[in-house]
Amino acid sequence: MHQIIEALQFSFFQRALAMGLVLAVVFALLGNFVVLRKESVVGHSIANILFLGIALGTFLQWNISLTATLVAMAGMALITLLQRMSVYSHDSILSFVEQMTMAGAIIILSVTPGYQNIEGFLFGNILAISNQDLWVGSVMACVTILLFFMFKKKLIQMVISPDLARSRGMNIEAVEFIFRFMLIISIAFAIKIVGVILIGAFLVIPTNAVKSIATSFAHMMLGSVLVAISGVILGLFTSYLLNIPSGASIIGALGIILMVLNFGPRVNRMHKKIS
Amino acid sequence: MENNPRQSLVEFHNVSLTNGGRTIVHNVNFSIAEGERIAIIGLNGSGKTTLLRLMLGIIKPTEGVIHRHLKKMGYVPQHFEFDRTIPLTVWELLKHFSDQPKSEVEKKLKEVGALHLIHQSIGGLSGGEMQRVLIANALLQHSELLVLDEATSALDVSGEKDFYCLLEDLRKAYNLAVVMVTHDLHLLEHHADRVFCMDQALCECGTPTEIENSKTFERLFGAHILKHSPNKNTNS
Repeated sequence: MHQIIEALQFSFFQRALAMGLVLAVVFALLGNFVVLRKESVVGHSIANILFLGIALGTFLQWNISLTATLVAMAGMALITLLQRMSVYSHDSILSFVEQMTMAGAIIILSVTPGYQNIEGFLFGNILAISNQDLWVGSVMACVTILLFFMFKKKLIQMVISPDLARSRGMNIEAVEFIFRFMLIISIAFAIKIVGVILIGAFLVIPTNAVKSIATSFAHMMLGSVLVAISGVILGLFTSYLLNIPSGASIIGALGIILMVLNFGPRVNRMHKKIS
Repeated sequence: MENNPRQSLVEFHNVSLTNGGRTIVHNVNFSIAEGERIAIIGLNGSGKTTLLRLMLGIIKPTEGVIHRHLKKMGYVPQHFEFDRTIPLTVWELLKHFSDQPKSEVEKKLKEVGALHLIHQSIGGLSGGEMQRVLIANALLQHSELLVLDEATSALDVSGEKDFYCLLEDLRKAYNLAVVMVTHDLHLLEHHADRVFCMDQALCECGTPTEIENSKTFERLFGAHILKHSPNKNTNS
């Protein structure tokens, strides 16, 4: 217990916890739509493209967040263009774009003078969150949450039936663009804490943890936020106590919550039947 | 194009759609007036559903112009495909597709005989129940035109009869124009004012009797299809 109190006294941990909680809310809300659109791999693809932007920003000594966001926007535009060409399958496009951008990022970082540590970007590092990160991240999270609630109705219509939404005059492409933009800026600020490799899981586990037990859409949204917050709190304290990468411990905690919520009741029922 | 005394809701002017070099709809001209009942018939792949999707604005024509003189259209697709694991109730669905209060949603669901479904998950609805919910959705949006794509394909004979009765009641109550793609050729007389016969182009257009006696109808469906239909004399 005293180690938990001790952790809370460190400013780096306070920053990581605050940033983690803000991101938990954003990721859980957006994750609902990522899962329902069956685009679970999109989060991972965006993270990889952002990683290329981070590498490029580091190499050129430009503003890293801005460079990463612009590169990710360009990358998503490229994915959309390739999809419309209908030459390659959707999963192939995502797969080769994310692998190519990851390869590009590693090459750029390996030739960047004085830069050796990419582990933090890959798996998350709670020490990496600066005051500036926290403030900028919080502002961007507020913008994302605001956009989310402004477009919530349209997002739900798009998820349920794009055809029905189009027949009501909705510009699906515009709503999709806004949704992707929200994903990009959220992931851009979550990479430091969760890491490129694990960010996709942070996006989809909270929703999947509650989807099968929720009785309404509102319950699913609320439930996923609570799961994400619990995962961040558990994960960050575990990361501090065991000295392991924060991304891995957050995803580990979320995985355990998913299993408890989904398989716990079934195991309990089976146990009752047997006894 | 025919001259309609009533206000025109949708007009197609020389509308064509090609995709990958293949002509799906070719040079179609027609207009639909308020309160009118249109049945679209044709063989599989003749462009019926594409015509509806053009009408609804889901896809855009490669040639020609479509004028819509209405604000809202209701749509009941042939297969309403969605993730059946979405924990979304009927109330939530209708709330998000319309801006109406719950009392209004309940009223419309009652009118289509689906009030008991209001708190059910949409994933658990049957095809017929989903259709009723989608019609309630169209009514909630104050649609002037209801577009149905093979709406009775998943219904049994009794369900089909109930569905057409409901449709007729709602059409009269709300002065709805109804456009439906159908394979129920034996029901055209009772449920359509005009019939569009599709074969990529709009190859025949007229009253049900005119269409049934046309050479195009005979060429597409055979001369004896209506005479041998067990439901020919069923006034459903």
